[in-house]
Amino acid sequence: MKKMTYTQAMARLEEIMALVQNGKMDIDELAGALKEASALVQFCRSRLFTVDEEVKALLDEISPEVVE
Amino acid sequence: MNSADAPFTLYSLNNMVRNILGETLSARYWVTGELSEVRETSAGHCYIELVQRDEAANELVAKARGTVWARIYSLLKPYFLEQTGQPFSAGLKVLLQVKVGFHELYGYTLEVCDIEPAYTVGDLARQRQTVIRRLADEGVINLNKELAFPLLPQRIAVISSSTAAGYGDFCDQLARNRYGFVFYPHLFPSPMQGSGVEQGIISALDRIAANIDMWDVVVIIRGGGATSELSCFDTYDLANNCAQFPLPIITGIGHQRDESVLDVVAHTRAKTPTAAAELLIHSMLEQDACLSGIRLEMTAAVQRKVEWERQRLHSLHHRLPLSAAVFMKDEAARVKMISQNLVANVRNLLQKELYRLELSQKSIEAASPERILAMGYSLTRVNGKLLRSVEEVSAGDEVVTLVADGEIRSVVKEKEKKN
Repeated sequence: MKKMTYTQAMARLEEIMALVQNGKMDIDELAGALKEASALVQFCRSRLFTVDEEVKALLDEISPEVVE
Repeated sequence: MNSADAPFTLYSLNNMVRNILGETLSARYWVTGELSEVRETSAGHCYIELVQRDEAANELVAKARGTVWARIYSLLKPYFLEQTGQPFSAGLKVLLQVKVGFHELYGYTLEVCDIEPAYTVGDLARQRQTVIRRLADEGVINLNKELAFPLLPQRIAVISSSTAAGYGDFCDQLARNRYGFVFYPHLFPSPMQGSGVEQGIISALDRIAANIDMWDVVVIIRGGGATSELSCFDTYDLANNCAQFPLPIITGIGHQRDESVLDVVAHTRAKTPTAAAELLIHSMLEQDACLSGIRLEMTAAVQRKVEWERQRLHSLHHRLPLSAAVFMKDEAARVKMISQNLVANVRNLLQKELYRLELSQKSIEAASPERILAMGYSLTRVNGKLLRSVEEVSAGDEVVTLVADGEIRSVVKEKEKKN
């Protein structure tokens, strides 16, 4: 999940939702699915609200543009 | 005035031209032309050069210098900017009211008295339409619009002038969003007014494209409001570059009245830098709402599933003994029915057989010779063979007749055949 993108995480979330909603998910798998979904939601929300140090570092690597 | 045979001085010749022009062209004339040069003096006057091109050959066919005196220019300049959205500058087509003048030292000049901005507005609109039509004909006009907007437009390549207020407003708006969303704006400076805009923006786009994976979205912004010039965002090359750029472009170039060609090709047009920032914040808000929705729906779905399973279990638990009882009862009834049927069938079968036996015995008894003899019938033999026809005996043959209690020996006297 470390390398997962937001879009992939959302797609997986929707997949899990569909399985749970249409009742096709086995009750034994439910706890696992819930755990995964909860982790995915948390991951997605962290993308919204938490500064990604990796992105920041990358941006810092670009030499600051010269003022015209 | 000099006599006929003496030469004119240059001054006197020019003076004559000036006087004749002054007499014959004394009216004010409306004239169209393109400003090829506009130069303001420190005194507030403005010197212009007006040209006419042969459009097909792109060659100059006429040229004249002109002057707008400070008294007129101080009114004309803001009026023109307000009406056209353009500063009074080179490259524009204008409709001017002029007085034709001639000066002994400076030669032919036009003194500008008035201007009709509607002419310039119309010309710019026409130019813009030409560019838009060309982009449409080439099939590029909607390319940027057709790009999918990123779910999280956080890594923002901003093209703006670092000195302009617009960029500051934009960053402030993003940084102070009340939801706490994280954004990563990064400035790619470019001039945002004047002739350097086209090249400035195109080169900024090139620099963004060099690390295209690092960005979610491009934002082109400029503060300023309705009085800033807009025609620098109307050029074909700029629009073509933006339309074909692989990331969605949001514009916020702060012009309330008109839409520039850049706005037309951009993925999304915001009116101001602040509005552009709001748009990005709103996108994030949508995702946030979507995630909250998923969380709620997930919980609800799980609860539904658990409740459904619980009821299923409950109903199974209750139905099980009942079902077993019903099953056993059914089976018992079936066994009983089968055994009853079996007895009846066997009895029936035996009776039938018995009846059949009795019948056989009777018919056997009925056929016995003793019974037939007892009834008064007799059997006759000749030469030991049973006699059935008169043909089998002749007169004189000895026959033996068998009756119930003995035998009679007799000799045939005669025989007679019936019929």
